[in-house]
Amino acid sequence: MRNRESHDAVRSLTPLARHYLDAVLDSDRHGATALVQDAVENGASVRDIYMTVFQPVQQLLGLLWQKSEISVAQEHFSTAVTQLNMSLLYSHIFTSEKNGRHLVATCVGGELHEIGVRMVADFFEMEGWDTYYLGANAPAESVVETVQRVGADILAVSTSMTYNIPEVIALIEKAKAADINPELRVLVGGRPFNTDKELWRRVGADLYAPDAQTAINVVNEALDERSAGGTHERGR
Amino acid sequence: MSEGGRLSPAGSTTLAEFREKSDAIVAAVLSRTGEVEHAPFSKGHRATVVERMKYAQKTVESFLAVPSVALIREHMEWLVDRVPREGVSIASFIGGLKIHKEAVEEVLSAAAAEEVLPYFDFMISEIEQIADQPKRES
Repeated sequence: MRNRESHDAVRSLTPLARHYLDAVLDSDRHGATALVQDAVENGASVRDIYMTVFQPVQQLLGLLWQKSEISVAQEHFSTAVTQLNMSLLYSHIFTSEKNGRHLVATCVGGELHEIGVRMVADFFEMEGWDTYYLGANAPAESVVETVQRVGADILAVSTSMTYNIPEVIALIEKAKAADINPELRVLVGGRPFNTDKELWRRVGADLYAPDAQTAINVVNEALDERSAGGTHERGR
Repeated sequence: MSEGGRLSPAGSTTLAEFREKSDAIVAAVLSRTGEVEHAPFSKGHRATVVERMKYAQKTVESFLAVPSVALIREHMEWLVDRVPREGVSIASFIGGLKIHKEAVEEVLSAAAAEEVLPYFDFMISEIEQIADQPKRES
């Protein structure tokens, strides 16, 4: 029996997302995968699958765990299935003509919720960027070294947990103190930034976006402004 | 330090001291409680409580680093929803938070404590207000 909040959240899902949720909660990895593959074969875009299936289902899984309606094991299994399905879509993602821009995407040290920033990296890849997705719990020094090595234009930093905000601040400080591309911009995202829409400024970031599609828009606008010699701070 | 729903940011010296003395604060909490069931944010075995206290310390450190009423409120709402599902009553949870506050006052310098304690008062007040709202849906 679901409580009202989770019941309403389930009802707000698209039919495909609802079927996908049912499959992962039934531990039906093959069924969930078939749903996604069939949708893509029938014309659904990868972006739509990410924005209308993976993202809302992952957010809902968090809510269901919070309400004690699913176990930690169910949440972890479901997340693993979504990660598998994201990987299976990579033949559709790594096909874009490159635009010469580079993005490093990472979770801060201690942060284990990596799907959101992985979605951001995949969206930029589909836009023609060269992306370097570093995953969960990445040490700040190693992130900064990667940013330097690949000549990143954008460093996308994510945390879902409030207690990792000092790690976000430390990473941004390290990245900006290092002798890197002076045009480097830091984009942040994750639950705390969605809760306080001004928080991104206080952690020292240049840009903020609540989701992968908005991240593309915000970064493109910032780069356009940079070309025109304008300010680089921008959030949604 | 709370002014019109806003919290004053902690200075970098206070933040550094809070971080540096985190283990001592956790130890002070455990020595005060005696029984781990009364420790903040959880009940259970000592190792689990120590782990959760470290999490609590990091959370407070985040609040101090970027004073945000919205962030604290959202987190307190989350805790009021989640904590009872882990078998801890809100009254016990608030009791634990007060012990945590006492430990902070004991371990930190007076100047640092003066900056940090209003955050605990704000968190406790928020939890009491949220918990007092009409019966929350289970």
